[in-house]
Amino acid sequence: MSIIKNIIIALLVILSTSPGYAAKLHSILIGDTADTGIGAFTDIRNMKRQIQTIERMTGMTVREKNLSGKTFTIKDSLNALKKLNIGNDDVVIFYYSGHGYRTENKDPISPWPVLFFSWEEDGMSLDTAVDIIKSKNPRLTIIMADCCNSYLPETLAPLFKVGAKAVPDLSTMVDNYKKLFLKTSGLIIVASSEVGEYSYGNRIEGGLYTTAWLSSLRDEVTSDEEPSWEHIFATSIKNIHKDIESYNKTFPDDQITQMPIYSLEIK
Amino acid sequence: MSRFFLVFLLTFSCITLVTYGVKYASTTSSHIPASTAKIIRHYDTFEALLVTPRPHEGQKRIIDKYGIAGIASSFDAEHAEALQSYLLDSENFRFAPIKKCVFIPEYAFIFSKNDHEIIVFAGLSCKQIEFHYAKTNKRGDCDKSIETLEAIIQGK
Repeated sequence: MSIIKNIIIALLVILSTSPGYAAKLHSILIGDTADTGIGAFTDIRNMKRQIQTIERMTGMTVREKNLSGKTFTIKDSLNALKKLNIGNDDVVIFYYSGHGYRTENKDPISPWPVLFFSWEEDGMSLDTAVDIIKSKNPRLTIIMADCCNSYLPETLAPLFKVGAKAVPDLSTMVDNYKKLFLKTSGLIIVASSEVGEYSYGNRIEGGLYTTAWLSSLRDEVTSDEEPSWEHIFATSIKNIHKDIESYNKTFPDDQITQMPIYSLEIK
Repeated sequence: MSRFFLVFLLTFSCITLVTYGVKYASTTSSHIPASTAKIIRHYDTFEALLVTPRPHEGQKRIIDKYGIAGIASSFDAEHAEALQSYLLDSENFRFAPIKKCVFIPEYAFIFSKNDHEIIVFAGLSCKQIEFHYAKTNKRGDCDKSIETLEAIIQGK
Protein backbone atom coordinates (compact mmCIF):
# COMPACT_ATOMS: atom_id res chain seq x y z
CA MET A 1 0.00 0.00 0.00
CA SER A 2 2.78 2.38 0.94
CA ILE A 3 4.61 1.56 -2.35
CA ILE A 4 1.52 2.62 -4.33
CA LYS A 5 1.28 5.76 -2.21
CA ASN A 6 4.93 6.59 -2.89
CA ILE A 7 4.48 6.02 -6.64
CA ILE A 8 1.46 8.35 -6.63
CA ILE A 9 3.44 11.03 -4.78
CA ALA A 10 6.39 10.62 -7.19
CA LEU A 11 4.07 10.91 -10.20
CA LEU A 12 2.41 13.97 -8.77
CA VAL A 13 5.77 15.59 -8.11
CA ILE A 14 7.01 14.76 -11.64
CA LEU A 15 3.83 16.15 -13.14
CA SER A 16 4.00 19.28 -11.06
CA THR A 17 7.65 19.98 -11.93
CA SER A 18 6.87 20.25 -15.62
CA PRO A 19 8.21 23.42 -17.34
CA GLY A 20 4.88 25.15 -16.71
CA TYR A 21 5.80 25.40 -13.02
CA ALA A 22 9.37 26.65 -12.89
CA ALA A 23 8.68 28.91 -9.96
CA LYS A 24 11.03 28.94 -6.99
CA LEU A 25 10.08 29.25 -3.36
CA HIS A 26 12.48 31.44 -1.39
CA SER A 27 12.06 31.00 2.33
CA ILE A 28 13.75 33.05 5.02
CA LEU A 29 13.03 31.64 8.46
CA ILE A 30 14.32 33.69 11.38
CA GLY A 31 13.99 32.49 14.95
CA ASP A 32 15.20 33.56 18.38
CA THR A 33 15.93 29.93 19.26
CA ALA A 34 18.30 30.92 22.08
CA ASP A 35 15.29 31.95 24.15
CA THR A 36 13.90 28.52 24.91
CA GLY A 37 10.85 29.77 26.79
CA ILE A 38 8.93 31.22 23.82
CA GLY A 39 9.09 28.15 21.56
CA ALA A 40 10.85 29.72 18.54
CA PHE A 41 12.82 26.50 18.02
CA THR A 42 9.55 24.58 17.65
CA ASP A 43 8.14 27.28 15.34
CA ILE A 44 11.14 27.11 13.00
CA ARG A 45 11.04 23.30 12.95
CA ASN A 46 7.30 23.34 12.13
CA MET A 47 7.70 26.00 9.45
CA LYS A 48 10.58 24.04 7.85
CA ARG A 49 8.36 20.98 7.69
CA GLN A 50 5.58 23.02 6.09
CA ILE A 51 8.01 24.45 3.50
CA GLN A 52 9.09 20.90 2.64
CA THR A 53 5.45 19.93 2.21
CA ILE A 54 4.83 22.95 -0.04
CA GLU A 55 7.88 21.90 -2.09
CA ARG A 56 6.59 18.33 -2.46
CA MET A 57 3.05 19.40 -3.27
CA THR A 58 3.78 22.20 -5.74
CA GLY A 59 7.03 21.07 -7.32
CA MET A 60 8.60 24.45 -6.65
CA THR A 61 12.33 24.43 -5.98
CA VAL A 62 13.00 25.71 -2.49
CA ARG A 63 15.80 28.16 -1.71
CA GLU A 64 15.93 28.14 2.05
CA LYS A 65 17.75 30.46 4.43
CA ASN A 66 17.45 29.78 8.13
CA LEU A 67 18.73 32.36 10.55
CA SER A 68 18.95 31.32 14.18
CA GLY A 69 21.67 30.93 16.81
CA LYS A 70 24.72 32.96 15.81
CA THR A 71 23.16 34.04 12.51
CA PHE A 72 20.14 35.50 14.31
CA THR A 73 21.30 39.02 13.54
CA ILE A 74 20.01 42.06 11.68
CA LYS A 75 23.05 41.99 9.40
CA ASP A 76 22.43 38.37 8.37
CA SER A 77 18.73 39.03 7.93
CA LEU A 78 19.33 42.09 5.75
CA ASN A 79 21.95 40.18 3.74
CA ALA A 80 19.53 37.30 3.18
CA LEU A 81 16.85 39.75 2.04
CA LYS A 82 19.16 41.75 -0.22
CA LYS A 83 20.63 38.62 -1.81
CA LEU A 84 17.25 37.28 -2.83
CA ASN A 85 17.43 36.66 -6.55
CA ILE A 86 13.79 36.55 -7.49
CA GLY A 87 12.18 35.56 -10.76
CA ASN A 88 8.83 37.08 -11.67
CA ASP A 89 7.00 33.79 -11.00
CA ASP A 90 8.70 33.16 -7.65
CA VAL A 91 7.22 32.99 -4.18
CA VAL A 92 8.83 34.44 -1.03
CA ILE A 93 8.03 33.39 2.51
CA PHE A 94 9.60 35.59 5.19
CA TYR A 95 8.91 34.28 8.68
CA TYR A 96 10.04 35.55 12.08
CA SER A 97 9.47 34.03 15.53
CA GLY A 98 10.90 35.92 18.47
CA HIS A 99 10.37 39.02 20.55
CA GLY A 100 8.85 42.17 19.10
CA TYR A 101 7.79 45.68 20.08
CA ARG A 102 6.87 49.10 18.79
CA THR A 103 7.33 52.63 20.09
CA GLU A 104 5.13 55.71 20.03
CA ASN A 105 7.57 57.26 17.55
CA LYS A 106 7.34 54.39 15.10
CA ASP A 107 5.47 55.22 11.91
CA PRO A 108 1.90 55.34 13.26
CA ILE A 109 0.43 54.38 9.92
CA SER A 110 2.22 51.05 9.84
CA PRO A 111 0.61 48.43 12.08
CA TRP A 112 3.61 46.10 11.76
CA PRO A 113 5.96 45.45 14.68
CA VAL A 114 9.70 45.88 15.13
CA LEU A 115 11.57 42.56 15.30
CA PHE A 116 13.97 42.32 18.24
CA PHE A 117 17.35 40.65 17.74
CA SER A 118 18.43 39.67 21.23
CA TRP A 119 22.12 38.96 20.40
CA GLU A 120 22.54 42.52 19.23
CA GLU A 121 19.83 44.01 21.45
CA ASP A 122 18.63 45.88 18.42
CA GLY A 123 15.53 46.01 16.27
CA MET A 124 14.54 45.85 12.62
CA SER A 125 11.14 47.02 11.51
CA LEU A 126 9.05 44.44 9.68
CA ASP A 127 8.40 47.23 7.15
CA THR A 128 12.06 46.95 6.13
CA ALA A 129 11.54 43.33 5.08
CA VAL A 130 8.31 44.31 3.30
CA ASP A 131 10.07 47.10 1.35
CA ILE A 132 13.06 45.00 0.29
CA ILE A 133 10.96 42.04 -0.83
CA LYS A 134 8.39 44.24 -2.60
CA SER A 135 11.18 45.94 -4.57
CA LYS A 136 12.10 42.56 -6.04
CA ASN A 137 8.61 41.93 -7.41
CA PRO A 138 7.95 38.29 -6.58
CA ARG A 139 4.64 36.86 -7.78
CA LEU A 140 3.52 36.01 -4.25
CA THR A 141 4.94 37.18 -0.94
CA ILE A 142 4.00 35.99 2.52
CA ILE A 143 5.55 37.94 5.39
CA MET A 144 4.75 36.78 8.87
CA ALA A 145 5.95 37.93 12.30
CA ASP A 146 4.97 35.92 15.35
CA CYS A 147 6.00 38.36 18.07
CA CYS A 148 4.59 41.04 20.36
CA ASN A 149 3.42 44.33 18.89
CA SER A 150 3.23 46.01 22.30
CA TYR A 151 4.57 49.45 23.15
CA LEU A 152 7.90 49.98 24.83
CA PRO A 153 8.77 53.31 26.41
CA GLU A 154 10.92 55.27 23.96
CA THR A 155 13.75 55.54 26.49
CA LEU A 156 13.97 51.79 26.99
CA ALA A 157 13.40 50.62 23.43
CA PRO A 158 16.28 49.42 21.31
CA LEU A 159 16.92 51.66 18.34
CA PHE A 160 15.83 50.14 15.09
CA LYS A 161 18.19 50.68 12.21
CA VAL A 162 16.25 50.64 8.97
CA GLY A 163 13.50 52.69 8.19
CA ALA A 164 -5.91 17.56 9.84
CA LYS A 165 -7.69 15.27 8.43
CA ALA A 166 -6.93 11.61 9.33
CA VAL A 167 -6.23 10.56 5.73
CA PRO A 168 -5.85 13.61 3.51
CA ASP A 169 -6.48 13.06 -0.17
CA LEU A 170 -3.12 13.56 -1.87
CA SER A 171 -4.37 14.84 -5.20
CA THR A 172 -6.62 17.33 -3.38
CA MET A 173 -3.65 18.50 -1.34
CA VAL A 174 -1.49 18.92 -4.43
CA ASP A 175 -4.26 20.88 -6.20
CA ASN A 176 -4.84 23.09 -3.19
CA TYR A 177 -1.16 23.80 -2.57
CA LYS A 178 -0.78 24.71 -6.26
CA LYS A 179 -3.78 27.05 -6.16
CA LEU A 180 -2.41 28.78 -3.08
CA PHE A 181 1.26 28.99 -4.03
CA LEU A 182 1.42 28.78 -7.84
CA LYS A 183 -1.80 30.42 -8.96
CA THR A 184 -1.83 33.37 -6.60
CA SER A 185 -0.02 36.68 -6.97
CA GLY A 186 0.39 39.47 -4.49
CA LEU A 187 1.52 40.41 -1.03
CA ILE A 188 0.47 39.01 2.35
CA ILE A 189 1.74 40.55 5.58
CA VAL A 190 0.89 39.16 8.97
CA ALA A 191 1.65 40.15 12.55
CA SER A 192 0.59 37.85 15.33
CA SER A 193 -0.85 40.67 17.45
CA GLU A 194 -2.41 44.04 16.81
CA VAL A 195 -0.85 47.39 17.67
CA GLY A 196 -0.09 47.66 21.38
CA GLU A 197 -0.78 44.02 22.07
CA TYR A 198 1.25 41.02 23.27
CA SER A 199 1.81 37.71 21.49
CA TYR A 200 2.25 34.47 23.37
CA GLY A 201 4.27 31.31 22.89
CA ASN A 202 5.37 28.31 24.83
CA ARG A 203 8.37 26.04 24.90
CA ILE A 204 6.58 22.87 23.72
CA GLU A 205 4.14 24.05 21.05
CA GLY A 206 5.84 27.24 19.88
CA GLY A 207 4.07 30.51 19.14
CA LEU A 208 0.30 30.43 19.63
CA TYR A 209 -0.18 32.18 16.30
CA THR A 210 2.27 30.08 14.28
CA THR A 211 0.58 26.94 15.62
CA ALA A 212 -2.88 28.32 14.76
CA TRP A 213 -1.78 29.41 11.27
CA LEU A 214 -0.08 26.12 10.40
CA SER A 215 -3.17 24.28 11.57
CA SER A 216 -5.48 26.41 9.38
CA LEU A 217 -3.16 26.00 6.38
CA ARG A 218 -3.20 22.21 6.89
CA ASP A 219 -7.01 22.24 7.13
CA GLU A 220 -7.30 24.34 3.99
CA VAL A 221 -5.07 22.19 1.81
CA THR A 222 -6.81 18.99 2.89
CA SER A 223 -10.28 20.42 2.35
CA ASP A 224 -12.49 19.62 -0.64
CA GLU A 225 -13.55 23.27 -0.75
CA GLU A 226 -11.84 25.80 -3.01
CA PRO A 227 -8.78 26.97 -1.00
CA SER A 228 -8.44 30.64 -0.21
CA TRP A 229 -5.87 32.72 1.63
CA GLU A 230 -8.67 34.83 3.13
CA HIS A 231 -10.16 31.70 4.66
CA ILE A 232 -6.79 30.52 5.99
CA PHE A 233 -6.23 33.77 7.85
CA ALA A 234 -9.81 34.01 9.10
CA THR A 235 -9.58 30.43 10.38
CA SER A 236 -6.18 31.05 11.97
CA ILE A 237 -7.80 33.83 14.03
CA LYS A 238 -10.65 31.50 15.04
CA ASN A 239 -8.06 28.85 16.00
CA ILE A 240 -6.03 31.16 18.18
CA HIS A 241 -9.18 32.50 19.85
CA LYS A 242 -10.25 28.95 20.62
CA ASP A 243 -6.87 28.28 22.27
CA ILE A 244 -7.00 31.51 24.24
CA GLU A 245 -10.61 30.91 25.32
CA SER A 246 -9.64 27.49 26.56
CA TYR A 247 -6.71 28.96 28.52
CA ASN A 248 -8.87 31.73 29.97
CA LYS A 249 -11.51 29.22 31.05
CA THR A 250 -8.86 27.16 32.82
CA PHE A 251 -7.29 30.19 34.49
CA PRO A 252 -10.14 32.68 35.04
CA ASP A 253 -7.99 35.02 37.15
CA ASP A 254 -5.33 35.31 34.42
CA GLN A 255 -7.05 36.42 31.22
CA ILE A 256 -4.95 36.79 28.07
CA THR A 257 -5.84 38.24 24.67
CA GLN A 258 -4.13 38.19 21.27
CA MET A 259 -5.59 39.43 18.00
CA PRO A 260 -3.52 38.76 14.86
CA ILE A 261 -3.65 41.31 12.03
CA TYR A 262 -3.06 40.75 8.34
CA SER A 263 -3.10 42.51 5.02
CA LEU A 264 -3.98 40.63 1.82
CA GLU A 265 -3.31 42.20 -1.55
CA ILE A 266 -3.70 39.18 -3.76
CA LYS A 267 -5.34 38.12 -6.97
CA MET B 1 -9.61 25.52 86.59
CA SER B 2 -6.89 23.30 85.13
CA ARG B 3 -9.55 21.64 82.88
CA PHE B 4 -10.59 25.04 81.53
CA PHE B 5 -6.94 25.89 80.85
CA LEU B 6 -6.43 22.58 79.02
CA VAL B 7 -9.46 23.22 76.76
CA PHE B 8 -8.22 26.78 76.07
CA LEU B 9 -4.74 25.51 75.24
CA LEU B 10 -6.10 22.84 72.91
CA THR B 11 -8.40 25.31 71.09
CA PHE B 12 -5.61 27.88 70.74
CA SER B 13 -3.21 25.24 69.35
CA CYS B 14 -5.78 24.06 66.80
CA ILE B 15 -6.50 27.60 65.59
CA THR B 16 -2.76 28.33 65.30
CA LEU B 17 -2.07 25.11 63.39
CA VAL B 18 -4.99 25.66 61.00
CA THR B 19 -3.96 29.26 60.30
CA TYR B 20 -0.34 28.25 59.76
CA GLY B 21 -1.42 25.39 57.51
CA VAL B 22 -3.68 27.62 55.41
CA LYS B 23 -0.95 30.24 55.01
CA TYR B 24 1.66 27.82 53.74
CA ALA B 25 -0.69 25.54 51.82
CA SER B 26 -1.76 28.49 49.66
CA THR B 27 1.81 29.54 48.90
CA THR B 28 3.63 27.07 46.70
CA SER B 29 6.97 27.75 45.07
CA SER B 30 6.81 25.10 42.36
CA HIS B 31 8.07 27.59 39.78
CA ILE B 32 11.64 27.51 41.11
CA PRO B 33 13.83 24.71 42.51
CA ALA B 34 13.50 24.05 46.23
CA SER B 35 17.13 25.09 46.80
CA THR B 36 16.44 28.46 45.11
CA ALA B 37 13.29 29.01 47.16
CA LYS B 38 15.28 28.16 50.29
CA ILE B 39 17.85 30.89 49.59
CA ILE B 40 15.13 33.48 48.93
CA ARG B 41 13.32 32.38 52.10
CA HIS B 42 16.38 32.31 54.38
CA TYR B 43 18.78 34.83 52.80
CA ASP B 44 21.61 36.43 54.74
CA THR B 45 21.85 39.56 52.63
CA PHE B 46 19.43 41.28 50.27
CA GLU B 47 20.08 44.02 47.73
CA ALA B 48 17.58 45.90 45.55
CA LEU B 49 19.24 47.63 42.59
CA LEU B 50 18.18 49.88 39.76
CA VAL B 51 19.21 48.41 36.42
CA THR B 52 19.95 49.93 33.06
CA PRO B 53 19.74 47.77 29.94
CA ARG B 54 22.46 49.59 28.02
CA PRO B 55 25.39 50.12 30.38
CA HIS B 56 28.05 52.63 29.46
CA GLU B 57 31.74 51.85 29.39
CA GLY B 58 33.11 51.23 32.87
CA GLN B 59 29.70 51.07 34.53
CA LYS B 60 29.41 48.38 37.21
CA ARG B 61 27.50 45.46 35.76
CA ILE B 62 25.30 42.62 36.83
CA ILE B 63 25.47 39.28 34.99
CA ASP B 64 27.67 41.11 32.44
CA LYS B 65 24.72 42.30 30.43
CA TYR B 66 23.03 44.99 32.49
CA GLY B 67 24.44 48.04 34.22
CA ILE B 68 23.80 48.95 37.83
CA ALA B 69 22.32 52.43 37.94
CA GLY B 70 21.97 52.68 41.72
CA ILE B 71 20.28 51.32 44.80
CA ALA B 72 16.50 51.11 44.94
CA SER B 73 16.00 53.30 47.97
CA SER B 74 12.37 52.35 48.53
CA PHE B 75 13.34 48.99 49.99
CA ASP B 76 13.31 48.55 53.73
CA ALA B 77 13.08 45.29 55.67
CA GLU B 78 9.29 45.28 55.45
CA HIS B 79 9.27 45.60 51.67
CA ALA B 80 12.03 43.04 51.32
CA GLU B 81 9.80 40.62 53.21
CA ALA B 82 6.83 41.46 51.00
CA LEU B 83 8.97 40.88 47.91
CA GLN B 84 10.20 37.59 49.35
CA SER B 85 6.60 36.35 49.80
CA TYR B 86 5.68 37.63 46.33
CA LEU B 87 8.55 35.84 44.59
CA LEU B 88 7.91 32.59 46.43
CA ASP B 89 4.26 32.36 45.40
CA SER B 90 3.82 30.49 42.09
CA GLU B 91 0.32 31.93 41.78
CA ASN B 92 1.84 35.30 40.89
CA PHE B 93 3.44 34.06 37.65
CA ARG B 94 2.66 32.41 34.34
CA PHE B 95 5.40 30.56 32.44
CA ALA B 96 3.39 29.02 29.57
CA PRO B 97 2.22 30.55 27.42
CA ILE B 98 4.60 33.45 27.86
CA LYS B 99 4.54 36.88 26.20
CA LYS B 100 6.93 37.43 23.27
CA CYS B 101 7.81 40.98 24.20
CA VAL B 102 11.22 42.53 24.82
CA PHE B 103 12.29 41.98 28.42
CA ILE B 104 14.00 45.07 29.77
CA PRO B 105 14.85 44.78 33.46
CA GLU B 106 14.48 47.90 35.54
CA TYR B 107 15.19 46.32 38.94
CA ALA B 108 17.44 43.52 40.19
CA PHE B 109 16.95 41.82 43.54
CA ILE B 110 19.84 39.81 44.92
CA PHE B 111 19.32 37.26 47.69
CA SER B 112 22.57 35.80 49.08
CA LYS B 113 23.30 33.00 51.48
CA ASN B 114 26.85 31.74 52.06
CA ASP B 115 28.35 31.55 48.56
CA HIS B 116 25.03 31.24 46.79
CA GLU B 117 23.27 34.08 45.04
CA ILE B 118 19.84 34.30 43.47
CA ILE B 119 19.19 37.26 41.19
CA VAL B 120 15.68 38.22 40.21
CA PHE B 121 15.12 40.85 37.51
CA ALA B 122 11.85 42.73 37.17
CA GLY B 123 10.81 44.42 33.93
CA LEU B 124 7.69 46.47 34.52
CA SER B 125 7.23 47.62 30.90
CA CYS B 126 6.69 44.03 29.73
CA LYS B 127 5.31 42.86 33.10
CA GLN B 128 7.81 40.04 33.40
CA ILE B 129 10.17 38.67 35.99
CA GLU B 130 13.31 36.60 35.46
CA PHE B 131 14.90 34.29 38.03
CA HIS B 132 18.63 33.57 37.71
CA TYR B 133 19.87 30.57 39.65
CA ALA B 134 22.46 27.80 39.23
CA LYS B 135 23.67 29.11 35.84
CA THR B 136 20.18 29.06 34.44
CA ASN B 137 17.37 31.55 34.08
CA LYS B 138 13.62 31.35 33.98
CA ARG B 139 11.36 34.14 32.79
CA GLY B 140 7.68 34.45 33.57
CA ASP B 141 4.76 36.84 33.03
CA CYS B 142 3.40 38.62 36.07
CA ASP B 143 0.44 40.47 34.52
CA LYS B 144 -2.01 39.20 37.10
CA SER B 145 0.13 40.33 40.03
CA ILE B 146 1.74 43.44 38.52
CA GLU B 147 -0.06 45.83 40.88
CA THR B 148 1.30 43.97 43.89
CA LEU B 149 4.81 44.04 42.46
CA GLU B 150 4.58 47.75 41.63
CA ALA B 151 3.32 48.51 45.13
CA ILE B 152 6.23 46.60 46.68
CA ILE B 153 8.77 48.32 44.43
CA GLN B 154 7.32 51.77 45.08
CA GLY B 155 7.52 51.08 48.80
CA LYS B 156 3.78 51.37 49.41
